[in-house]
Amino acid sequence: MMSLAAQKEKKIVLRSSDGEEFEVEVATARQSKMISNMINDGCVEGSIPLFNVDARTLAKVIEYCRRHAGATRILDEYDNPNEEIKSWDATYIDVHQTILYDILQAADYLEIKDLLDLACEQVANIIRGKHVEEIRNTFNIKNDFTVEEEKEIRKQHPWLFE
Amino acid sequence: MKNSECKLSEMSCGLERIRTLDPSAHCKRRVLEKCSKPKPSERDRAIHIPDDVMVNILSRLPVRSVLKFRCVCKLWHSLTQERYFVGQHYQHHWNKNNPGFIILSWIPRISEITLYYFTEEIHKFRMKGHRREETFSLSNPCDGLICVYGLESTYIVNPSIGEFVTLPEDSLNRPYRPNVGANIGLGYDISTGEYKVVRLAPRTRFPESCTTSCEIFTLGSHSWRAIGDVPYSVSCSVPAVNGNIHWTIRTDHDEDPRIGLSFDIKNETFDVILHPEGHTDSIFATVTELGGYLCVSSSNSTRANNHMQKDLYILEDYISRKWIKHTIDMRLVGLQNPSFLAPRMQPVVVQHGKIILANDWGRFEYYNPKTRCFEKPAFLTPGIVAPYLESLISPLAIQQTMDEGIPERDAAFFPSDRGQQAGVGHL
Repeated sequence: MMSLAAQKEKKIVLRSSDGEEFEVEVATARQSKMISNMINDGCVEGSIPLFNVDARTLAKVIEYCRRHAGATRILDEYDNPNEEIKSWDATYIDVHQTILYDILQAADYLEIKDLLDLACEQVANIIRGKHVEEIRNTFNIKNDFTVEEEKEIRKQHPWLFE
Repeated sequence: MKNSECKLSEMSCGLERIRTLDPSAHCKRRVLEKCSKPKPSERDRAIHIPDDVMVNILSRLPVRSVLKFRCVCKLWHSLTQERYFVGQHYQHHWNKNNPGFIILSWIPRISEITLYYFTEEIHKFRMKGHRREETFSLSNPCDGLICVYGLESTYIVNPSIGEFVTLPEDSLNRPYRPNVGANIGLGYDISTGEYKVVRLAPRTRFPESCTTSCEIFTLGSHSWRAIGDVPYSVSCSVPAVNGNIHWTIRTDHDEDPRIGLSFDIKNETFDVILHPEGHTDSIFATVTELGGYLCVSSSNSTRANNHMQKDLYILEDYISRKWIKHTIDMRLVGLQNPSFLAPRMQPVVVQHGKIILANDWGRFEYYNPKTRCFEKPAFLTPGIVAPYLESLISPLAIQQTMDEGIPERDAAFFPSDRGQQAGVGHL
C-alpha cells in the first residue's frame, strides 16, 4: 500500500481503443471500479489499454471522473449530491444521442456506476414518449409477438395507445 | 445496486411466476459483445445495449411508458412484471424525491369514482364495476397503492396501472355496515413483504364511547382478522413513517396530550404520539406526513390572529421524539374567507422543496419554506387529497399469487429505509 501523498502524485495512463493516451490522477481513475480493481491488484504499470472506449468517449468520461473524484466534496449534509453537482451533471449529459450511447457503454464497461445511472436516466428521458415501433428500431429489437398476442397486450391498457 | 447487474438472460421469462432475482447474482462482463465498436459511418444504425443496462433504463421510465413498452417484445413484457423490476422501478422514482398527489372524486348516486393523480403530468383512472355508494374515503398511499372505501365496500387501487381489487366485505363483531365511521390505513410489512390494510372502526354506534376495533386484511389473504380494540376515536390515516401507520386522535378537550395513534405494521401494536411541546391544540390539529417526516399541523387559534397562523411541528427524530416548529402565515394566501378556509388547508406533500397545502375543494397552495412565501395557487378537481407516487405494483397479481399458493414473502423487495426528503427536517 503506497502512502496517500504518493498516491496523490501518481498518475495513471489510459489508452483508448484508437491508441490515444490519457494521463489521469489516481483518484480520477478510481471512479472506475474496473480500473480501481486493477490498481488494487497492482497491474497498472505502463498504460492501461481500453479496447472498447475510443478517444472521444474516453475524454468525455475522464471529464466526468475528474469532477466526481473526491466524493466528500460533492455531497450535502444528507449525503445527496448537492445542487451544484446536479446541475453540472445535467449539462454534462445533455449531449447528442450517439455520444450519449457511447458514454453509456463506456460507463458500463468501466463500471462507473454513477455515470451509468446518469446516462440511463438520460436515455429514459429520451425514449419515454416514443412509440413502440420507434423503440424497436432504435434498439434493434425484433417483435416476437404474434399479431393476436400484441393486440391482447394492447387491450389491457387501451388508454396508452390512444 | 448490485441487483441491477444481473444478466437478463438469467432471468426467468415465465409470466406465471413472479420471482425475485438472487441479489448476489454476479455480473459477468460482456466484453466480447462490446469489442466491435461501430465506426462513425455506422453510427446511425440501431444501438445495442447490454440487457442489464436496458433494465436500468426501463426502470427509470414513468409507469405509462413501461406499460406501453410491454408490447415491444416478449422479453420486455415479462421482465417489466418481475417483482424485482417493479421494486427497482419504484425505488428510482422514490429517489427522484418528487412525489405527486392524488385526488379522489366521485359523483354521488351515479357513483362513479375517478382518481386523478398528478405526477409530472395529470392522469386519471376511472374505476369501473365498483359498488354504488353515497360517499367514499381514501386511505394513506403505500407504494403506489391506495385504499378507496365506501361504507360497504373496500378496494385496493393502483390508479397508475389502472387496477383494483375488491376486498371481502365480512366484518367482525359488528352488526352494521363494515366501514361506518371507519378509517383505513395501508402499510407495507418489510419483514414479510406483505401489504396490510388496517381498519379502525367504532365498536358501537355511539362515538362518545371511544372504543375502536381494529381489523387487518393482508393483501393476498381471504379475510379480515381482528386484533383487538383501542380506546380512541381516530381520523385521517397518514403514510407510514418509521414503519408505523398513523392516525389523528380525536378528542373533545384541548388539554388532552394525545394527538396521534401509531400502528407498528410489523408487530401489529399500537402506541400514542403526544403533542409536541408548546403545541396548543385546536380542533383543526391533524397528524400528516411531509417528506418522510411525521408532522402535526394546527391552526393557531388565538383571537388576535383568527386562525391565520398555521404551525407545522415536524418530528425530526422519531425515536427521541424531537420536534421542530415552522410557522406559516396564512394571511399571505389571500383567501376570501380566511378564518374558515385557512384552517382547512392541510399540508399534502413536498414537491421541489415546496410544501403543497390543499383543501377538499380543489385549492392547492404552493408554499416555499425558505422564502416563507406562497406562489400562485392551482385550482383542481374538488375531492379528497393524498400524496401519491406512482408504481407498477399490481394488487391483482399479489392477490392471485396468494391464491395460487406461491409464497410472496420477500423482505428484500423494498429497502427498509425509505429515507426522508432532504431539507424538510431542517425547515
